[in-house]
Amino acid sequence: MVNRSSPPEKEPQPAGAAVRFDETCWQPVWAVADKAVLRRAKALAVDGVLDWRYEPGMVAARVRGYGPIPEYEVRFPLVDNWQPHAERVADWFSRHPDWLAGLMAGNLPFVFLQRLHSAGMALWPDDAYVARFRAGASCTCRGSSSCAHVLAAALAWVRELAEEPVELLASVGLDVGRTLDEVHRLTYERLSGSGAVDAGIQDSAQAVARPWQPWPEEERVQVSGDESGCRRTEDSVMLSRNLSLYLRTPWGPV
Amino acid sequence: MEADNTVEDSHINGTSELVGVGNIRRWQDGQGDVPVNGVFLAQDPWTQMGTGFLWLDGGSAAQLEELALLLGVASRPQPGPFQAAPALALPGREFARLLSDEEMWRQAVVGPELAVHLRLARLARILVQRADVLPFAALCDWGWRQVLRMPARLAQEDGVFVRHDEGPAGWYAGMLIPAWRVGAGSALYRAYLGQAADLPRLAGNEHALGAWLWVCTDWLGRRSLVDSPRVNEVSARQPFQIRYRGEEELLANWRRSLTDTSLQGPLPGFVADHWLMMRMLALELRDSGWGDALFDTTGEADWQVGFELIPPIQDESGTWTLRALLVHRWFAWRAPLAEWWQQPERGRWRIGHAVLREPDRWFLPELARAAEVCPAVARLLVQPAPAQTAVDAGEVMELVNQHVPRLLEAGFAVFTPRWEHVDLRDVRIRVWVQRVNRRRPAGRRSAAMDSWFDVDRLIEFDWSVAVGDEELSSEQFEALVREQQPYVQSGGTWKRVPVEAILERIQDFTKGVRAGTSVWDLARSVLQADDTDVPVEVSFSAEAAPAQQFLRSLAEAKAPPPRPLPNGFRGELRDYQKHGVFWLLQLRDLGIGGCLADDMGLGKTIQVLSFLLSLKEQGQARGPHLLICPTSLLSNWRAEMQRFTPDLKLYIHHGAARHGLDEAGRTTLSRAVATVDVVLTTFATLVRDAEELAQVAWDTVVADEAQNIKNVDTKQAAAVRKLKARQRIALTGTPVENRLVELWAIMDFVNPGYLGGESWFRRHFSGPVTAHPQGPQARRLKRLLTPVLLRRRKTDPSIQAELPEKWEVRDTAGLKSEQAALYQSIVDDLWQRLPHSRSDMSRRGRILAALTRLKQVCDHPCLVAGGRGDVDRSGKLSLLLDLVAEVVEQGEAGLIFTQFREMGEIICDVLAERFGWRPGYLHGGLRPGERGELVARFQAGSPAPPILVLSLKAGGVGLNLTRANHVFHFDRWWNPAVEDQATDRAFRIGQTRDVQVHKLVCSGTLEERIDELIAAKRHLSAAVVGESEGWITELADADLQALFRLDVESALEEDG
Repeated sequence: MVNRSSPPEKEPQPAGAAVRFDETCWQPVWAVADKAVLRRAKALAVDGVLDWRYEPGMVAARVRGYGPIPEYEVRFPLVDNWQPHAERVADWFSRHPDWLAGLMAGNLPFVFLQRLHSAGMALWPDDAYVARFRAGASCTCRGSSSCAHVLAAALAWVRELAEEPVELLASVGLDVGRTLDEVHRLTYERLSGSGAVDAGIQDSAQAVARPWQPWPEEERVQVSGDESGCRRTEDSVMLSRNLSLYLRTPWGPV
Repeated sequence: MEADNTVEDSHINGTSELVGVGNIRRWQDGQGDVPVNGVFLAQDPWTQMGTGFLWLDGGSAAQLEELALLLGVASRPQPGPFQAAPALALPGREFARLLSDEEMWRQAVVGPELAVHLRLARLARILVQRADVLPFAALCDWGWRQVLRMPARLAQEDGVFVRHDEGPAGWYAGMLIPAWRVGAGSALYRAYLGQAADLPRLAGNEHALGAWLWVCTDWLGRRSLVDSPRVNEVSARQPFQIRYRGEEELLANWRRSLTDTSLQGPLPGFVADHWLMMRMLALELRDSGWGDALFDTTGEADWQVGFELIPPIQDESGTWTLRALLVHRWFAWRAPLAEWWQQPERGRWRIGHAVLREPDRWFLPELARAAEVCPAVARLLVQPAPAQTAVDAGEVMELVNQHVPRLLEAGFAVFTPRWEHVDLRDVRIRVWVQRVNRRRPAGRRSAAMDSWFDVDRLIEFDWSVAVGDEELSSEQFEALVREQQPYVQSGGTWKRVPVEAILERIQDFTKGVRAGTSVWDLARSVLQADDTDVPVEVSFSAEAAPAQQFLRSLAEAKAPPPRPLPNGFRGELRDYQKHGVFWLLQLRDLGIGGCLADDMGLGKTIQVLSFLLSLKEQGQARGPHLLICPTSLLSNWRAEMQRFTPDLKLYIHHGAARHGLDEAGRTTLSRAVATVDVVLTTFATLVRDAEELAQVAWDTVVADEAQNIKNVDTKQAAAVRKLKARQRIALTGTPVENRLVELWAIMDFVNPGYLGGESWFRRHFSGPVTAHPQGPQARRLKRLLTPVLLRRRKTDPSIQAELPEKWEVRDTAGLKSEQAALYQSIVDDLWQRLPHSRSDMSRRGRILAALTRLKQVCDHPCLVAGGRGDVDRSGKLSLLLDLVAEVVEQGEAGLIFTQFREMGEIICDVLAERFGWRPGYLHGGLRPGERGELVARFQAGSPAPPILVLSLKAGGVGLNLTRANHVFHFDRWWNPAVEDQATDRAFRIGQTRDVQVHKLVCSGTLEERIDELIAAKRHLSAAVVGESEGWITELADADLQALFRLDVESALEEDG
């Protein structure tokens, strides 16, 4: 498996090429694990990882135990810490919204990865990280640093990242909301002066008392296509099979 | 409790009288529009159903009391929830009753908080009205937050969660809650919540609003519950279900708890087993809309990313714009993405009535997804503040045709300009013919001499395309095609021009651009236009008037104007025959040829003769006409000419005599050409004398039985094409329109180039028409043929009206030299031995014997001289074969009568050899059973052969042979009554078609003369000629001689 965190520089990639984030991105870590342990870890990762949280520079997780020990505490280090680069990253994203959008969709543009690489930043493991992982990971089972619990926690965590790729930012120590705020702010500032909408005007209009009238959208709900199949063709409509409850509208049209 | 109910009821009843429509508003009018405000607070436990507060923003306590009176509530002003003002406190359900009376609140000035509550009450009412509610239950001592979360959890986990800490059972209370099956309903709910979140007094208290909706739904739902009148019927439809123990009881309790309609006090509870209750709840929640998406605040549930393709502003670079936007799935709310980047705040985005919180969390990845299927979106996304991108004119087609469908498939909304569907009928191709050029130097049709108009002349023209009100010049249209941008703006909308269809039509007449477009090409293109085609409007400059006249005449060729008929024509033309003559004359004026393809028996011969005579009388003929026919028809043509158009001088270029030279050394032909009107020849002779005949400048060349030239590779076809003629006419009785390649060959002889080259024709018409006989190409071909192909069928109603139900045709054959010699010897022999006394019995006997033998000779010489019954020995037999072939090809059937038993056998043999089937032969030698079987077989139709041969006497009476609609009298019984009787075998009750009677006659023989005699005296028939042929024996010698004499010149059909 090629370590995709460091893109090959010789082969030019077609424009728009992207790398999909999934658990194979963590192959360097899986590759050095014992086969049998990894197999156990994969089974455990399905439902044995009870929860996880970020600690400074670390992921901490609880993994289901066996016998007298109900659960183990697992810790392993984060791949990278982008906190010092937070401003730079926000600037990149505001200039290259496709990078941010791609990351959030789990499809990372190749040029973005190249930029990361040249900035010495990583989003998923490289060989150096593998060493750090082996040195820094810990488990209350007192087994080796790459015991099945640690690997299971990492697997479950990576799978969740693949489900919610925007959390990749959190995985390198950035606050997702704050990063998006910053990207938006930079973009807005770059645009400012070009007739930005003042949202405050709408707010004040909202808070004023006014004659009450139905919305046209409400009519839409009344007549909209009926996906429930409970179109009212009869006087009464059964609400519940179990309860034999029937409903009739005593009013005319609303 | 009961007393309270009574009070409430009186309030409700009083509503219409006291409050009336718009009463709050009216009250407010008198109070300086003091706004009414209110909130619902959800106290725990949930079964208390919360409390509603109403107050006046900036109003006095006295006004509030007045309002309480107006609303008919017993509550007194007390401290309100927000210290703002004193308020009326109401039990939740009563609050629901008040707020769901819309008439009361219409136009009332309300505070924003109360407005949200009113909207939610209205939503509850809509949900109940749509039956989008479901029964629910929860533990009585739970708080609202817990209860409100429950449905989504139950629905998602699709199972059970049980609280075990308090034993197996607990106190539950039932409630009707929204089911959220109608997607737009939950969208509305989220929009309301979004609004509420902006209101300081409601923000952070969303669960109170959720509870409020439930309280309203429950109150309205309970009021609408009815006992179904059709319980049995409905329950019969339900699948059988095994009940758990205690389930019936639980359901009964639950049901009872839902029917309580009190306005105050806690909801009544009932004891239920936790596990069973959860199971029942999960069943109720199945297929509901409960889920996490219900609480979405980012807009992801109700909004989608959309793209709008914006056309260029006219008179600019022609660049289109693709703009990204967010579109509400249910309501007409949308906003361009540009607005997002222009607002400083990221937390929320207000679009329409909705508020989206941090929507970039979902729309950015959505944009990335869209970029994967649409390059234009990818381009849009690389720019900072992605909002829109430019799309080149050349890229629009690809975008619309390929990328947009992919975007739609991936779940994105795409808005394209209102492409107005351009109906082909709204499109016109305008052709402006400026000038008709001088004749081109040497063309294929150079033989078309001195026609008033040469159809091969080139025209100069310009064209344009009109789409609706927009006119595109040829250059503009070509630019559209080149840039693949088939859009035209017209009157504010964009129209998608059906470029392909237009191009196809234009190429019809511009395809030969290099060689130039001829009038002919233009005419062809205009003619074949179908209703489904883009119409072509042709206009002409004064200089191009001849072309215009040509086109108009061609279009009207099918309905030619009447003209005077030739005076010298001896006979009466039927109306359709006159029409045929006018048509030929019209084509003559246009300088083009035609194919007359009337059904057999409709009189193609006399139409052509009348036409030729007309040319002669009007002095239009610029030379002799050449008539080419099969050898078997030579005599018939000659006979018909003598009979109908004796004024036409005829030379028959046939037989050995044609090679003679006169004293001046001129050939017979060259001498004849100078003097006669018509030269008649056969296809066989034409092939032999091709060179000689090609030297002559013919006026009209007529090819009879044109199927003889259907194969272009044959010698006769080549020879016919080599002939120089001013006009060419083809005659055929077989349905040519079904055999396309034959049709092409014939039409290409008549009007070279009209149907294009052979390979073009195959590609353009043959293939498509064969594949789809009713398709557009078939219609096109038909239109193209309309002016130059005239085909009438016996079955056409208009023709049928003109034809008698039974009509007779005399078909004339010639004698072969062997027959002529035999005939002459028999006649000679008779004169030598004939006794002169009239009464002499031997004289009668001799005459009758000679009569029989002469008839036999005319039929076939082998009947007298023996030998093989070959076709080649008898002119009549080969004529019969040709006629039968036509009958068979048209899918019809015929009877052949002969009076000679042996002749019948010969006919059967010959037909078997020619067609591969042997007809039945009904003669006197058959037993009655055999005869019956033969008749039944013939009547049964296919696969029995379509021809039945009968001996005249055997077949004369008592048979019913209505399958046949042709009757051939191969030889003649000189008694019309006998012949008629035979004919009536076919012409009987049960015959649905008209019957055509062919009487075969050898020209120049007694057959012809007796035929004329009978025809002249027909009305006397029986009285004059009696029942037998005996009357002939009574004739005087001179008459007899005249009758029997062989007119060698007209009789002899030289072996070609």
